[in-house]
Order: sequence, then C-alpha cells, then structure tokens
Amino acid sequence: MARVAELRVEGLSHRFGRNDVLRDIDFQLGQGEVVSVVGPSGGGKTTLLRLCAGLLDVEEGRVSNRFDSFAFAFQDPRLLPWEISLDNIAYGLKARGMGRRQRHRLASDIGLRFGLELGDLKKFPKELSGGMRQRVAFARALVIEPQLLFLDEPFSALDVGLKRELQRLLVKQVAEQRTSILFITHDLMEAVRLSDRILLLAGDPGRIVQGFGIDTPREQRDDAFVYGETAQLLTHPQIVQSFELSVNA
Amino acid sequence: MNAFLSILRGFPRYLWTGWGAVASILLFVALWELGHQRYGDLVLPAPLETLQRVGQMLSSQGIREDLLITLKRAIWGFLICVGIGSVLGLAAGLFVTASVMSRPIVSVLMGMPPIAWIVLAMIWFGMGDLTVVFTVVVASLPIVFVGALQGTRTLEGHLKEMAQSFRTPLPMMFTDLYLPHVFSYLFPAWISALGMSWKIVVMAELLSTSDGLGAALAVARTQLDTTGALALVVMLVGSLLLIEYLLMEPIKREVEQWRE
Repeated sequence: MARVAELRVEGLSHRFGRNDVLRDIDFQLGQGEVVSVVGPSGGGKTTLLRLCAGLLDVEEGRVSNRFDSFAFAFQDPRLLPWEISLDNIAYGLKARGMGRRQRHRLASDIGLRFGLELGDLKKFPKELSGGMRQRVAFARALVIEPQLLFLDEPFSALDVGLKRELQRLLVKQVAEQRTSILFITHDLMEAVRLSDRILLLAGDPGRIVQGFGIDTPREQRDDAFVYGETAQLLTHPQIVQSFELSVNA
Repeated sequence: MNAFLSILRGFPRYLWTGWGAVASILLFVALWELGHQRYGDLVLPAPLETLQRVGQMLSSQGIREDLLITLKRAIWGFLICVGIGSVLGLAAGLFVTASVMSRPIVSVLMGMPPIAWIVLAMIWFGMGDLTVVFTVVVASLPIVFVGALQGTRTLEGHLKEMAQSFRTPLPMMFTDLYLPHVFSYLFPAWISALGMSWKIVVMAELLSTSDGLGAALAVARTQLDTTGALALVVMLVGSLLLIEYLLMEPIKREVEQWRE
C-alpha cells in the first residue's frame, strides 16, 4: 500500500518554561493542500511551525510527518554570507549529497526562473538587495522539490510587487508539483489568496479556534475576490476577537 | 586550491593598487628628510644615509645572522601562540562555563605589560631563545584566544536552524557553517598577533639576549649610533610590511570577499 503523504498534528501542546504557548492543536494537511495558520503576532504561530518541521522537540502530543521531503522558508532570508547566491541556492542539494556540476545547473535554472540574473548568481548576499535575497531563499527552498513547504511569513518584509510575484510562482509550484504548504502569516489577504483552508490561531495560549475553507480554485482568485473574501472574514466574530479589532475602527 | 590560484591571478592587480601606499610612504620619507635638515645627523640621520646603512648591514655576515635569528624567534613564537591560542579559544567557545570563566583571565593577561613578562621570563628561563619566544607567546596569546572564542560563540542560531531544516550532515555543518564563520574571526586575530610578535621579539631581545636585531639595537644605543639604530628599525618594519602586505593581505582579501 502506498504511503499517504500527510502531516498530522494531534493534541499538540507546548510550553516555554511556565508559559503555555500552544494548547491542544489538532489538524492535518494532505498532499497538494495549502493550509495557512493566521493569528496575532506572538500567538505561537512560529513555534507551531517549528514543531511541525522538527526544529523543536515535541513535548506533548504528536506530530507525524509522512511527506518524503520538506523545506523551510524563513521570515528573513538566512543566507550564508560567505557563499555566493548560486551556492546558497544549491545548499539543500549539497546537503543531499548531489554533485557540484548537477546542483549548480539546477540552482542556476531555478534562480533565473525566480527573477535573478546570471550576474546575481555570482554575487555574495551582501551585494544583493533585500528582495533579491528573499528570491534566493525561496529558490533554495524550492530547488529541492520538497513535497511539503513550511513558510514562516516569508513575504512580510517585501514590497507589494515582489510579494505578488513570489506568490504567483508559489501558486504555480503547487499546481504543477502538488506541493503541500503550511503557511504562517498575520496577513489575512495573503492567506485568502493562497490557501485551501485557513486556521485561526488565537493567542495566549495558542489554540485553533476556527477553520475556514476557501473553495474557489487558486487560479481564479482575482483581487476583487480576495478583497471581498477578506472583508467578509474580518467581520467574523472569532477573528474580531482574536485580532482584537475594535468595531469602530 | 582554487583560492590559491585566484590569489595568484589577482596578485599583479593587487600590487598595482600599492602605488597609493608607496606615495604615502614617500611622503613620510620626505618629512623625515625635513627633520634631518632641521636637526642634524645626531638626532635624525638622513633617510638616504640610513638606507645605505641598511644595504651595508644586509651585505655583512653578522647582521644577516642577527636578522635570521630574530625572524626565527618571532615566527616560532607566532606559530606556537597561533596553535595554542586557536585550539584553546575554540574549545572554550564550545562551553558556556569555560568562556565565562576565561574572560577575566584573558583581561588579566591582556592587562599585563609585556615588559613585566620579559622580566619574569628572564628570571625563569635565563638569557636566551626560550625567554624571547616565551614572551612573544604570552603577549600575543590572548589576542588569538579571544578571536577564536568569539568565533565559536557568535555563530547565529538562525543559520544553524536553517542548516537543520535542510538536514545538513555533520561534515557539511563544519565545512559550510562553522569553519567559514570561525575563520572570519580567527584570521584577523592571527594578523594582529603577527604584528605583536614582531614588536615583542625586539623588545625581549634588547633586554635579554646577546644576539638578534634587538641586541644589535642595544649596541647601537650604547654607541650613540643613531644611523645604525634607525637602519635596524627600518629593517624590522620593512620585514613586517613585506609579510603583511605580500602574504597576509592577499589571503585575507580572497577569503573575506563576502564581508560587509
């Protein structure tokens, strides 16, 4: 029997010292599915993502990750300053033991697709703009063709144009390769644009209080749809409460 | 290997950028000449005369031997201090307790004037090579130690987490993450230690040995031979500049291209 690729989180709780960060989280993520976790800053979203990715040890509950491969894109690019872009992109391939020639070929292919120029690939991170660095970081995560992609607010520091561009590339990736994505954000519009399901993580301690499904196919979500859907979500009582939106604002 | 070739390739161009440095040194020599004309031979001999003296010294057997002895002592001291300092610093950096404990000790060592070490070393080891090499080692050791310590302590958790997320194998953690980072702290420390060794070796020789450039300097002093003393200084500074700018600086440029 073929393994079902999925991420299953059951009864997950976590605390830092005496602080309850997460309590009793349950959800699952299937293949080709995009699930976003939204919630106020400091609500334990990043902790949840790190637990799912195995970057933190699970203390209570269970996380079973049955995807063969995964990659992580962080909020900041986290490039190695002493390696040129090409080697930074190829990092994950090198970690898998791929030979130099092949990994450089794959890395430069994807780099060019992500809007870098040949000259940029030879540059050190210090010589690139913030947007370029984030492109490199995205390319690094996607070049290993992960089945599951963890995104920790990777768009939050980017300008609107670049944000859109990277999101478009991502949507394409999901459609073509059936990549699953667990996506963390505090930006509802982003979540509406990209995800199949939105989980609302209320803070203190972090717990999932509501789930919203979006059935319209991703390719058909234009601006009007995203604005409309977001506006509707913003009136939902749970969201008003979690983000502490004042009604008169 | 690649880095070595790239250093060699860049070398002619690097040398060409040296004209600015040459110009500023010539300006300095011009000021020196001015001082000579104003104060006379005894206080400040002419640059030309000094250089001629350097030429004479280098062609005489005695001083050439002294120069070699001094170089040997300085290089030994430097190598020993680099070896011990780097290893101890890296080891201390790996453990929080060790790095916290070593900090005050390093401050004490740094605060101790080299001249005090020379006196102690003379009592402990007598007059000779060992005293000089010992002084060089203790005086430059803290610099290397601190460099290595900071290198291991400052590696960002962020980059480590990134490496973890790609399930980086341990050998690659070393080659791609730890070594480049640590080296970027160690290398500048090594260069400072080299400069330190050069200065300390002469001072130690002047006080505690009968051979080497330092001893020759002491003789020049007793004979009020200002030209001789200046010629010796020129040789010392010259040799340091040669090593630093022909050897260390090109390596540094190659390995630290990525730095801000």
